[in-house]
Amino acid sequence: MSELFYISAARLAGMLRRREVSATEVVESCIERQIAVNDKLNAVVSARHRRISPGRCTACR
Amino acid sequence: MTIKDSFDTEGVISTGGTFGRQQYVPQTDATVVARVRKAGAILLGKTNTPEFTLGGLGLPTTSNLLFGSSHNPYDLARSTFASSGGAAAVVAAGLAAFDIGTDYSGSIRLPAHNNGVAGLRPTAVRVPRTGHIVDYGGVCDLWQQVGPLCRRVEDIELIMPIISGPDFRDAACAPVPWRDPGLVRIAGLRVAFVTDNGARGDEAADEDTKRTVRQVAKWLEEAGSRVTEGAPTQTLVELSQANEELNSADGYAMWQRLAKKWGTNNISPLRRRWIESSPPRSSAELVEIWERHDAAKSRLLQWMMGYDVFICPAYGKPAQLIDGPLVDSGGEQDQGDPVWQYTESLSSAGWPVAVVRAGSSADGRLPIGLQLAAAPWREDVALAVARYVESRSGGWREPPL
Repeated sequence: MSELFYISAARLAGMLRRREVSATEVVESCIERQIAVNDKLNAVVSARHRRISPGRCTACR
Repeated sequence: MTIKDSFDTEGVISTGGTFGRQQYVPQTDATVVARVRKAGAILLGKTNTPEFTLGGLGLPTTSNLLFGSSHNPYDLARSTFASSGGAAAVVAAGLAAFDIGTDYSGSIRLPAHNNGVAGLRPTAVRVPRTGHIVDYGGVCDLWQQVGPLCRRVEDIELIMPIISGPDFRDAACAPVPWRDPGLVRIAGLRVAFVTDNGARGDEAADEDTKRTVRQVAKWLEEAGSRVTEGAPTQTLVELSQANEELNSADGYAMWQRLAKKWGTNNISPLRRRWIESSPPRSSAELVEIWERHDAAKSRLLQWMMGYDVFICPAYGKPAQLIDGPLVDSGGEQDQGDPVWQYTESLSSAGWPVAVVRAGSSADGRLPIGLQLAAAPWREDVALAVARYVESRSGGWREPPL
């Protein structure tokens, strides 16, 4: 099983519908990935971390 | 999802890479953003793009004066390429499930190629441009198109029906039904391919790129497609040249209007030089180029009626070094070889073109994506072939990050 942030949108949509994963888990996985690698890529220019997941994502605090 | 920073996003800064919009917070979403949000997508951030998505620093990577350069996830010293390069790098590295980009001269297809993801430039005017920094209207109206960048082709198939169709603001947008790529049979498809569509100079295809095209042709043959090598390369080159002549015919007055509209004083320096060194052509010359462009477009379409799919490189080589030679082609009209010859000609054609990772550089590190083009409105054919190529090549791979 690959990382949540690597799963395709189509598969994620199915997993969300079947409640195998929550939207919060998916969003936090992507945000943590952003925080881990965007300094190297400089590809995200305005992040939405705090607006989306205030106080919930440990990596965002 | 993330969204290319040239699209308006309600409540989120949307700079389009220009100083005049450094604090611009739109009141409404661009049409495509509103549509994917309504379908449940969550916006995780905005992705880097050159000023007005049209370049101007001359660096071979996605870059602007506000935020600097983006880096390729497969080699951080290399380019993400063109104007949706931030989007493609984000998707390749798993920072979001998908992004929505725009493609004027190649800006979905080239980033998809460089960053090893799947992208679709849809048929001209299938998807509304409303709310993009360069939207609709004018001589070059048919070039700016909107499409998704994803890790997997199945995601393009998921997103396209959501973003397609008129919004009754982009007056060119056509209500053409979406066809299911799952119904297309690869066996029996008539396929034309070229390893090099006439591109010269720095853009001529290297051996890795040619090998990748031949491999894809072989895979399609194995699946029962009828594969032929060859294309009217002279027409492709003429179309690409006419595209560039039209692009600069107004002496970049369009660019100056954009800067004025958004109150940008410090525009990208190379673009300023092009503006200063490019006198506008006469209206008679403009119309002549336009007619020559459309005549070549018609010839290419007539040829395509003999095929279902046309396969060629997206670019001559894998991702370039960021600190490489400047791309400086705009100042002197009619001089030198066109840049982005593989993609520009198909922008002018207006056909749907899917790109998917089909191979790699000889050392296996850098992705090589190819253009898989179909006749107008036949995204189903282009995407079915993209799915098949993905099944053989493996498509997107995890970057070493």
